Amino acid sequence: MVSDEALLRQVHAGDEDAMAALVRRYHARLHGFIFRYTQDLQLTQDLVQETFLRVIRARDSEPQSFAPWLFRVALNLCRDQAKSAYQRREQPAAMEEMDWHATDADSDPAVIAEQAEVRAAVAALPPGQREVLLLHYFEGWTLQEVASALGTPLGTVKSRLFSGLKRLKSSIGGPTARGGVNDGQTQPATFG
Amino acid sequence: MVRRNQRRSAEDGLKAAEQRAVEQRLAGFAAPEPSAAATDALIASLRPAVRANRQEALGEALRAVAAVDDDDRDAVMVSWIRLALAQVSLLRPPFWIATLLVTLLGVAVQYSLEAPAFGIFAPALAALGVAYAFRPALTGTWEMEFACPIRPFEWLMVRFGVVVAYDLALLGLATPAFGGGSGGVIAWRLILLWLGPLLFLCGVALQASLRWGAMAGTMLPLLCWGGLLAVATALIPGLSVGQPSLPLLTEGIAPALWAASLLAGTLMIAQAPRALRGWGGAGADA
Repeated sequence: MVSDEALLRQVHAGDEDAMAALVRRYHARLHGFIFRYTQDLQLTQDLVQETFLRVIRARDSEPQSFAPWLFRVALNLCRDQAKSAYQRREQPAAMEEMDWHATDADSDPAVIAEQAEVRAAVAALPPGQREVLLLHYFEGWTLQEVASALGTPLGTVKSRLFSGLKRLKSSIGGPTARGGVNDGQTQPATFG
Repeated sequence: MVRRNQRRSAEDGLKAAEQRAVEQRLAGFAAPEPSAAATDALIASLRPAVRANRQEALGEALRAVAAVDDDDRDAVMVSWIRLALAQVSLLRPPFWIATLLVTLLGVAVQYSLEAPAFGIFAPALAALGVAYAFRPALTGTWEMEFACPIRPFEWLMVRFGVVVAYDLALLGLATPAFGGGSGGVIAWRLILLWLGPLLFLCGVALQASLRWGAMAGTMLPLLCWGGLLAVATALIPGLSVGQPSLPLLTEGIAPALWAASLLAGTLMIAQAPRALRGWGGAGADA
């Protein structure tokens, strides 16, 4: 299989098939990451497209490792969007208005309510803690990889992770509707 | 790593079981997956940007080729300058001094007699200069020059250029002196007066040298110059040698005559490579 980095070089040379291959590899992951960050489906689609556009247009960039670079581009866009939304004092789209759960197989109202609670708790996290949690748990990155991608010291990343977990514990740490406990044996714990 | 995380959790007041519970809740944070159609639509929307990359990459490639060409042109220019410097050293001091003296003689005659001596001397200067430049054709070194790595065309044009440039520089320097003593003759007419015949005779000398040898290249321009003077005398009323005639040579029909000779001379010089091909065959491919 052609590496991501080789595909990127082909994309920068104008190869549309390479672009299609790269998008098919990363669309779902990037979509999930941005959605969990913004919790806005329309905005997610826009930011996914903008992320890929920036990657395509960054002809001077030759990242050693494509995936961390891709997610860093996406993260920067998310941050910029959050900053401009804050400046405009915009509120995220109400969960009720979103059709996000249309693809969710689980239609149990209790489960849906639980998920809404989790989403709200994640959205309430400070951006730094949210970024670390999303990359570590949902993208399956080690803390070292997260630190490299964010350009942040490893100790800071660990600190943000545990601070985020503590915050989440205080907001969603109670028993779940479905019960059961993650065995926690995988490292990193990956949900995505 | 898990153990270290759990130890850190404990230090921060988060027990392992509590952490697992939080992680378990987090696992329920589902995100909608884009459909295949959405992925196809995204790919379609990105295609123009990739096509733009292709255009840009093509442009860069062409610019790279052009840059190589520029380098080549620079290298050619440097080699021509070196060649010209070599020709300067080949044309011995007597040539430079003689040309200078002829020019000074023309200036002196012009001032003392107020006759069109400058216009007469200038073309002769060019014809003699070109003849001197091509004297190797008479001295047997021509074959050696053919055998050198420099192509005959380059050698021809560079040496010719050195001689003509020297003549032009001398006459250009002398022109203001005539302008000052000519009762306000417009400068461009005065320049045309000597530049036109000079380039015409240079062109004749060059073509004649290439086609019939250096002797013809010396004689024919002088004959042409005599003919040109006869034509000028016939066409310009009141013109005669020994009479103050600068206004006659710079007004009326005269500028048109000099302009025509300038054009003819330029064309003959521009045609030199073709003449070289017909004459010697080799090396006129530039």
